Amino acid sequence: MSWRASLPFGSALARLAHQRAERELARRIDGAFRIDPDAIARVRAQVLIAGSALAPVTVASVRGTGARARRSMPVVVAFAMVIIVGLVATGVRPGEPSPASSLAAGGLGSPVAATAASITAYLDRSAADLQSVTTTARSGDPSALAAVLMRYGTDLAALEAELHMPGADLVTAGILLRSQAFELSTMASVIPAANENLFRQLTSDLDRLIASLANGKPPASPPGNGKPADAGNGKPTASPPGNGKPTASPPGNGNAAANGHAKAH
Amino acid sequence: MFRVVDAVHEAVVDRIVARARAGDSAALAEIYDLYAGRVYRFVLQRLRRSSDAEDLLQRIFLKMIEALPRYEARGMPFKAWLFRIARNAVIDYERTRHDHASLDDVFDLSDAQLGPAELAESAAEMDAVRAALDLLTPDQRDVIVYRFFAGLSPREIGLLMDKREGTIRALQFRAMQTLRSSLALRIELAGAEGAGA
Repeated sequence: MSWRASLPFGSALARLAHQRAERELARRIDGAFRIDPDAIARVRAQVLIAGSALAPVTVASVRGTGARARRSMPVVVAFAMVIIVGLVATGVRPGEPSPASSLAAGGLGSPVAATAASITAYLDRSAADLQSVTTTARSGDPSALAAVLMRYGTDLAALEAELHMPGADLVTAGILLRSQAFELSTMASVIPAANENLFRQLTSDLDRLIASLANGKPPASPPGNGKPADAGNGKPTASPPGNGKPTASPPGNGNAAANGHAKAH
Repeated sequence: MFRVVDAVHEAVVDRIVARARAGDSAALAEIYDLYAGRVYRFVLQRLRRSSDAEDLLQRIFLKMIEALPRYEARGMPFKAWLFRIARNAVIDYERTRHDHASLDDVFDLSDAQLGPAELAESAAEMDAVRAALDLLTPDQRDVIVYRFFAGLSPREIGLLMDKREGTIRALQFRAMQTLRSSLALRIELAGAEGAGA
């Protein structure tokens, strides 16, 4: 250690060096202990199901009853419900082929169940996209961030198309999308200027989708022209899948988007 | 990610928590989205295997949901309260789990986003960070983990560890001095001067 490193704590230079060391440590921890967005998304779906099971039935009118009901249901029961609901809804365990794969194989049969599984897959995927947005924004690479943002936009458009399907759970989708909108809003401060237009467009698209779900009706068909997104200006497509973009398919399935499009129209 | 979450003011979080306590599922999702990454990394640091970390992440948030009606915003920030649950869950998990990971499967190499070389590099980096943390005293180590893995502020760490904020800062400073040499962090003052110029 050099003589400079033995400067008193109050020294501005020592403080600066200390701050640099902290940043470096944080950077190395970020690199070594990577957050798995897929794991985060998988657990998210299960936690939200458990949360719904534990929540009061009618919060505004019978809060006391709801609180009692919530206390009366132990977490073990909720956990069991998570597993059961997850198995019924997806037909697969976390880590196994995605629900969309089951759809492609015709494994679930019912159009309603198939839609629910697709929507879950798209919601999970868009949530994972958001995690990537945060990570990529920190890397300071506008082109990489634009790619991630566009992927998110594509997934949103695919999700929007799925929400037109009969039996789609619009309420759950609305709740989860509002959560994503909140997360997106917290990212505004870290979005580079080069990506601001794209970011604003995405935020606007998401708000529009949420607003259209607010009345419990499927979203109105966006004024798409059937063309892929304009990569030149970074604007994401607002049209539903079926526009030839392979990335519109749900996780683990290369052709389910086309299937979804065929079903939707 | 930490910067993004830090931007969310404590009062805002308290309002979200209040909505979650009232049964608002969207608020619950917001809480999860705010803290899941930090909790996952905090757990991963202790359990090493990503499959275990995912399992425990789920348990922690289920425990949080169960305990939410008993949470009082006064006294302890929600984030510190959540990490108290996480810490206790990790301790319980380690106590009940006897099939310790062997050296061969310490790192779950199932991350499809990384190539073999990157995985090896990441594993080596994990090893280096863990080895460096082992050089610290238990208190120093806890402070570093809460600060850099969980993203807690010195005040929040103080509440968790039942120590004054100044004590936490001092522990962190001494820990960083140890980590500087063991991790060969780029903190040479000449470099600092250059950056400041």
